Amino acid sequence: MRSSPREIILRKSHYIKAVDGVTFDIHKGETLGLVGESGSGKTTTARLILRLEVPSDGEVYFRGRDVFSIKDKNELRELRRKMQIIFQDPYEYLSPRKIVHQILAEPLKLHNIVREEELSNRLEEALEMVELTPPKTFLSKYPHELSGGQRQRILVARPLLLDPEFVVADEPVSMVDVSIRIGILNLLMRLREKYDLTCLFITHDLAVARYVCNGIAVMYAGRIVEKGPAETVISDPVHPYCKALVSAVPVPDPRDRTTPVAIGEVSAGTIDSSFGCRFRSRCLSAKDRCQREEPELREVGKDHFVACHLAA
Amino acid sequence: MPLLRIQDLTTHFFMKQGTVRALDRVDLVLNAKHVLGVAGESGCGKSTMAYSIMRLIPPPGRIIEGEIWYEDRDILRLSDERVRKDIRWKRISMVFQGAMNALNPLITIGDQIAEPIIAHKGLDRKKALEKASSLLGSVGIDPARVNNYPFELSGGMKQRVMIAMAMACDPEIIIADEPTTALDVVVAAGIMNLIKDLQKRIGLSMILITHDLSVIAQTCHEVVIMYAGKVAESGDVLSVFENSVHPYTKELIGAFPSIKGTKRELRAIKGNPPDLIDPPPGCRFHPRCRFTKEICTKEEPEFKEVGKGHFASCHLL
Repeated sequence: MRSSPREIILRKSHYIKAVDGVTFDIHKGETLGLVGESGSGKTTTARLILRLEVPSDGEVYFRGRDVFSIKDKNELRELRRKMQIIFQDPYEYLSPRKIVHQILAEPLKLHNIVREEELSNRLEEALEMVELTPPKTFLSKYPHELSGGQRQRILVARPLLLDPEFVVADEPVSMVDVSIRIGILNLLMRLREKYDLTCLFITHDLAVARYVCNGIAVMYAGRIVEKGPAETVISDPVHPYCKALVSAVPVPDPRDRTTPVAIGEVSAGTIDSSFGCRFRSRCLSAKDRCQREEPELREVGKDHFVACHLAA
Repeated sequence: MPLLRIQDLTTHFFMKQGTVRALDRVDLVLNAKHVLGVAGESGCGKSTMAYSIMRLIPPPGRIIEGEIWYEDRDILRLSDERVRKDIRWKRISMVFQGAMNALNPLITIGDQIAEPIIAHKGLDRKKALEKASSLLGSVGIDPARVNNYPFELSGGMKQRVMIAMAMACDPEIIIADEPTTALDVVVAAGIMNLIKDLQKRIGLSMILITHDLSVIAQTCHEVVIMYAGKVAESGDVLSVFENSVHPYTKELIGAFPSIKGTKRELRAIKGNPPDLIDPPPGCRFHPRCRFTKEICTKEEPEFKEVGKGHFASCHLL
């Protein structure tokens, strides 16, 4: 599927392009990691793909069909069933006034998928699937009676109950304790395999992206600056921002102490005007051309694309 | 050479629901001009330990046992006033977790850094602002920004301001509580570099509290691994990372994916962090441990030396 730019009008004719000219494909069964700092546009991109936002330009094709061209209500509902999201915050995205049974039953009822008699069975299966056992005890609990990790598992179970084909996972482990993270990641990978899911995995953590994703696209200020196979982008980054990013990730090995590649600090409150490369004010290698012309993504290796005038 | 020595530190919180045994007989040593990492998940007691050292434990919490030896004095036995006049901020200061978001939006960063200087060192405002300016330079911020307001700074710069504030009275020890959490990776790396740089240039001794073992591996000389209010293992980073003996340490290190090395499946630590009001009997880690024996469920293991300066508490040793 292809994604698109979006312009938010701030005041008069001042635009911030939260997502600008973003283009990528995700093949069936693949997991693409969308990596970037907060504010880089990754969540907005995901929301656009899921048709939770309306783009100013561009298309999102799911199974060859432009999702924004769908007008029929039933067709749209079916689309929503097939394209789901696992949210980041296990404290905010579960209604505190509902028990697990109601939380999980709601999407099934909305989509009219399951008959009343089968509901409990289906819910118990779902809880087993996310390793919350014995399932009966969990169905009657309120979110506040569960640990962070348990709540995150409910956030995983809920969308998967609808048997989707495409799942966006938005930072699914960043708010969960370290010892619980791997459990959730391993669970996601098992379920992905079992249900043949295609995924967009949003994270700021490159190590997690490497663990889970086939491909990685790195976003900076609303644009994709580098994309390619996960191992390639991590072992051989080309864009100056990606080089800095990779070198900045601390490695859990005291024998491997590296000094991060330096880049300029962000100056708060400034928005680069629309000409030129968005990274130019922080780039230590910026040239004249970078001030005038926005670089396009160009192939620099097998399936490896970089948007930088100094690459190629 | 030990600068700060903590023995049997025990801090409990007396709540209506029960007593939270946040810290139980914790031993720890900070060596001069070294960075000591304190690692563990949420609820393990690492922040409680920092607040205990600073004597900032609020009621219903109380330090009920232990000694903290610094400059030949047990600071737990000093009066509140003595701690305030001699120790807090002057000899030992702290960068609090998330503090960069708590900067007063109505006061310039210069004045906020100057505040402790005026209060503790008795300088007048003009001289204090000069010092604040120079401190900004030491933490990598243009000294001319001394009249900026917090909203004019990025997250990383605000964190540097917090470090400058902690350095304001020239302390010997700085405790940093999760200094890089909530910062973007590149910015966090800058802060880690700053910490290493300050430590080398000024000879600061630091206690770095974090849940991120990667940060510890990159910046610390020694590390203490905490679990459920107790120390599971401690020693120099190489020993603890490469020759870990405590099952929790091994599992914790194994739970961090890396961008380097062969990609392999990582193993989850089963179970959940324990309830500190009613922790498991015996070894607090036993319900989650793969090697639990009967003694682990009954008796708390002793904190023993397993190598030079390398300690752990586990019955299997």
